[in-house]
Amino acid sequence: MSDADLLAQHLGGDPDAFSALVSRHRDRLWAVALRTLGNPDDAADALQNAMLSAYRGASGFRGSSAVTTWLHRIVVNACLDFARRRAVRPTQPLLEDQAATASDEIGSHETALAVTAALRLLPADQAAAVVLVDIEGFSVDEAAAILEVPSGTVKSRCARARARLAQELYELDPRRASDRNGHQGSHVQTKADNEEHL
Amino acid sequence: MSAGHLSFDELAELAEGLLAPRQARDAEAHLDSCEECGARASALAATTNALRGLGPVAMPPEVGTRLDRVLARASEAPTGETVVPDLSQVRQRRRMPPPWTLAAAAAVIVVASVSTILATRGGGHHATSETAGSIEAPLVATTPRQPMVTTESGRVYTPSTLPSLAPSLLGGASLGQSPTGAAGTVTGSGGAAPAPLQPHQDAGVAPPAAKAAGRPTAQNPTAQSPYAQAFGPAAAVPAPLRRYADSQKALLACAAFITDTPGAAPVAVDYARWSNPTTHTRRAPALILVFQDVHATDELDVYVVAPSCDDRSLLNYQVVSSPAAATASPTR
Repeated sequence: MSDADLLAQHLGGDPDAFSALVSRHRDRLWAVALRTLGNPDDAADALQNAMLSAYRGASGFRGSSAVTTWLHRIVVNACLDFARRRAVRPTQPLLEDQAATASDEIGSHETALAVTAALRLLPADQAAAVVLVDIEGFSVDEAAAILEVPSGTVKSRCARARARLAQELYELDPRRASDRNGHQGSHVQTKADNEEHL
Repeated sequence: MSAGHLSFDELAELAEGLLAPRQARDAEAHLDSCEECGARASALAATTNALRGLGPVAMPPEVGTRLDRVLARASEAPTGETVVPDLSQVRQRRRMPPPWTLAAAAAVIVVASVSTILATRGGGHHATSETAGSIEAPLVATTPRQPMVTTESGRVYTPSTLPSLAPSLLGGASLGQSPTGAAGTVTGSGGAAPAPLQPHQDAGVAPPAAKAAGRPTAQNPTAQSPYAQAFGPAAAVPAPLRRYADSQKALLACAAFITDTPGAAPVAVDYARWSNPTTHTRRAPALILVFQDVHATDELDVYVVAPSCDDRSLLNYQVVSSPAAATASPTR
């Protein structure tokens, strides 16, 4: 049964169809919320708001995009709303060690962890852009439609986000900083300190 | 940027094609000869690759549990009434209407005053178009008998979906439903309302060659309910409802009993199912009976009735906006 079938069943009154749709994509949507907001508590709140509005607004789905794209749009926008209301990005470390399922063919596991931790430092709109384009694999145009901004804006947000992340990783690289051992704990502490200068 | 090196921002913009051609040429030339900038470019590439390699994250169980609970509550959550209504109160409400003539007169007065207000605001153009729309509503309502639209969707209604789905039974008249009952055609049902079922078709879920759900009706053997058009073949009419689908006399007797009004005929009926988490009702066979509201011309009374159609059969009752009300709403 396709996502669109489940959505149609939900609209047709099946009380379980929407939950079934959500549970299909929950890990992916959770990752989007977590990485955009950088904090599990905020991500849980934003995702809950998003799923409620998707539940109630399902009749607004027009089928011009995939159901997953529609769900991403709602989740990302709920996260950005949440971030706008939230004064400061939180500083708790992102507990993703059990979860960072990096494919090791390109970057090392450690790089994936470092990138994930550094994502927290980005403003939410930049984080959302790289989450959609680099992590979730949407095209720039699709991400632009989801975020309701021009494609050029998505590109420049992605560029700024990647630059910031690359800089963090570069400065962390143990080969470049002999006075640091690259330990994860000190790494996070450094990020929290840097955050004041955002 | 320090010591004449390229900044990470510049490198990232170069990679994304955001630098002006001349800047890009300069940056590339510098990259070719600068070890430090080459290392930065490598770090940037490694970062981008690492991002692309990140997979989903398992949602923590407590977050999932909370989400499930919230969604379960939403499915019970009322846009209308969720409790089982008291039949005698529903009947009482129906018995206290202003007579039709008064209702129509009141509507005209409202229309008149609204057009006055709009005109004095200088919105002459708006006043014309909006009042023109609202005058139609009383005409629809005072039509002595509208044809009854019959649908055999077999689909599941809930308290939250009833307000949008029930009016769509009428709004979909142009989609090929079969008018039955009183003489006349559905063209008199006033203003092609935006059919809520349309989005489903837009959603691309309709098999291109969806066949009609349920049995073809005598009047129009090829009639398709909007449900069938939108979703493809639906569940059959639940067996306990068969006798109403087979006998209009039985159906009208039930309608008269439930409304306590001899001769009351619904404007739409659907042979369907009913789920209400609050009452632990799941997919119970149910008649969806839609009547023109006796109080307001732009509202519909929707009754969800169990097959036995006795004084314990009223599963739900809601007053919802009529699709014809779309044009009349400025008066309210």
